[in-house]
Amino acid sequence: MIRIQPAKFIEHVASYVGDRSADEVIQELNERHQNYRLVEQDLSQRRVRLMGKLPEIEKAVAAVAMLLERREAGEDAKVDFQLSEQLYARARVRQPESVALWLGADVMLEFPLQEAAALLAKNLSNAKAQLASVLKDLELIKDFITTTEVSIARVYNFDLARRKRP
Amino acid sequence: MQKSGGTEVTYEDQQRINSFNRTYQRAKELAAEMKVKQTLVDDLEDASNELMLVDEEEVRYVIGACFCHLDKDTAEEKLQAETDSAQSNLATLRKELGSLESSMADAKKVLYSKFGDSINLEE
Repeated sequence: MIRIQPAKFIEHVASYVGDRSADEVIQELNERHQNYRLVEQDLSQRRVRLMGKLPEIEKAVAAVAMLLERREAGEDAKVDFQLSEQLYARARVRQPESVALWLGADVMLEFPLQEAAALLAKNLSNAKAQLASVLKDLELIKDFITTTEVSIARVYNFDLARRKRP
Repeated sequence: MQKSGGTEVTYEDQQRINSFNRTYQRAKELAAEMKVKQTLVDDLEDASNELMLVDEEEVRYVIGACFCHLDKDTAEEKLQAETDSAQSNLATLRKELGSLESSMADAKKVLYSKFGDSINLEE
């Protein structure tokens, strides 16, 4: 969860503004608005990162599933794999038993196929859960932003009306 | 979103505006997502048409980051399964977009009838 002050709905603009000048109040609301925007940007970036991560994991899941299938069928896996951009070489994976998973921090660990599949499935569901929670936070912060925008407009209008009154 | 004039904004109005905004943003995201998914469905259908014309026994099928050599029947099965899941995925998104659009239309009706020209809910 995000730790920020929630945007409260102003029930009565007049008593909210009180004796303060409208500029002062709007300034205060603007600052809050900016803070919310910053948090929103941060969350959006996390969202983009997570959404990029999902297909990566899904690819790995598909590849491990293919190897498992081949092993079950008792066949070798014949693949063209990428050596570098635009360059592929042919390989025959005889009786695949294990794969090495990239764990990050320059570490790869070899896993039996079943375990690798389970680990990847767990990573996938974790990433999905993280994405869901980021999306929820984003909705919340967007509500704060909209509320603050409406509040600014209301304070502004209140001030206009107050000035018009003799 | 501009509001002027004498109409007071109630808490319910604020909630409605927030929810309209959220729905609107989500609808935009959905539309973008659907475009990507539609391309995927088109590509898969193209692949399936091409596959029918292939004479060879063995084809290369993209799995993960490499091309896997599969016999034609297996490739056809896999392709069909992928197409089905992509299509049902797209259908789910389309349905969600439809319900978002109708709830936006409802919210617009309520908000416009109260605030008239003082509120702008268009792009």
